[in-house]
Amino acid sequence: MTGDLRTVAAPPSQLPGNAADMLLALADDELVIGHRHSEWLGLSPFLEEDLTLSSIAQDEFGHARALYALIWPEWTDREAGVTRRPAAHWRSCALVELDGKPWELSLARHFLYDVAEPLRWTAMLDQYGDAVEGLAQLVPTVLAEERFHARHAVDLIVRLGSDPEGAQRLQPHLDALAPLAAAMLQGLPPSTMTAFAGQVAAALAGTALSTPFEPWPDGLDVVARSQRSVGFADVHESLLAVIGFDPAARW
Amino acid sequence: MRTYEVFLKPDGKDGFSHAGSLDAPDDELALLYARETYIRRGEGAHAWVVRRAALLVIDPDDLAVTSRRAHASNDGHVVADRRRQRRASAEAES
Repeated sequence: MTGDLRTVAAPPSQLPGNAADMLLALADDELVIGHRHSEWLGLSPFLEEDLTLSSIAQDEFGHARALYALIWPEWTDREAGVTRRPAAHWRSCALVELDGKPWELSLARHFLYDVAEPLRWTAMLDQYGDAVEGLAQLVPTVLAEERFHARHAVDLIVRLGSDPEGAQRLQPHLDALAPLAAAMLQGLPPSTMTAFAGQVAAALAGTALSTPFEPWPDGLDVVARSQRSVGFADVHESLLAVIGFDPAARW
Repeated sequence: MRTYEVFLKPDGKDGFSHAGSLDAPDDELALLYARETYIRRGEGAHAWVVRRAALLVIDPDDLAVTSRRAHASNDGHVVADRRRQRRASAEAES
């Protein structure tokens, strides 16, 4: 039913250099991880976690929305249009596209993603803060929210990872997701990657979990961000589900 | 999991009031969950998160007696009645 919806080509961005590509990678990651988090609404292991992850998902949607506005300020049909881009036009990474079940996987992903996220925003600010209008104003607001995302993920991982059963259930997912997290950071300065690996190791120190980056993976066989991973199709399908009821409706 | 009680206070002179409860595995997460559960839209400028087990609870029977103290309430009628009687008897004498 929604097959014919994926036909919208975004207008060319007017941002200089590769700023649009880098910001779009972050924007699409935010939209897709927000959607993956939101899939736990009503299904999380307990109510407080349910509310918290949903609230984080909402924040991520907001960040995606703000980034799309920086990339395409003039695109009037941006809100629906970004979702209706064909799969090949998206720049999300495999880490965020992956199906989030079981919950341990989603928690491991939330941890890796949200430890990395402030570093990614800071890198964006450093590289494009002068060139992209509005970015310098946006980043502090985002970082203030991200502080709580990372704190939540780290607190919970430390708590569960200090318990033998929790560690046993989390470790395989951390190991499996680590290369995807490394791939997510491709294109960022090496200092960002070093900082990320250091923060992950610091968070896990003192738990029964071992750090998944020893050594940091070199020469990754990176799936280019122009290719969608296996998890993307059903995210896209479900993002388009409501638009599919009435594609001509204005929201 | 422990149960916690959350109290919020707006900026200004109003005091803390009870917002609700939550369950959390530890104090750190309790603070986080309190924020995400009860203070998403600036509902409070200050928040207390208290372990329910730390609350000292007064026996309700000890409180019930405090609502049956009509004999100790002073609403002025006794004095007013006495003045009225004195005035009336003074007028009768004159």
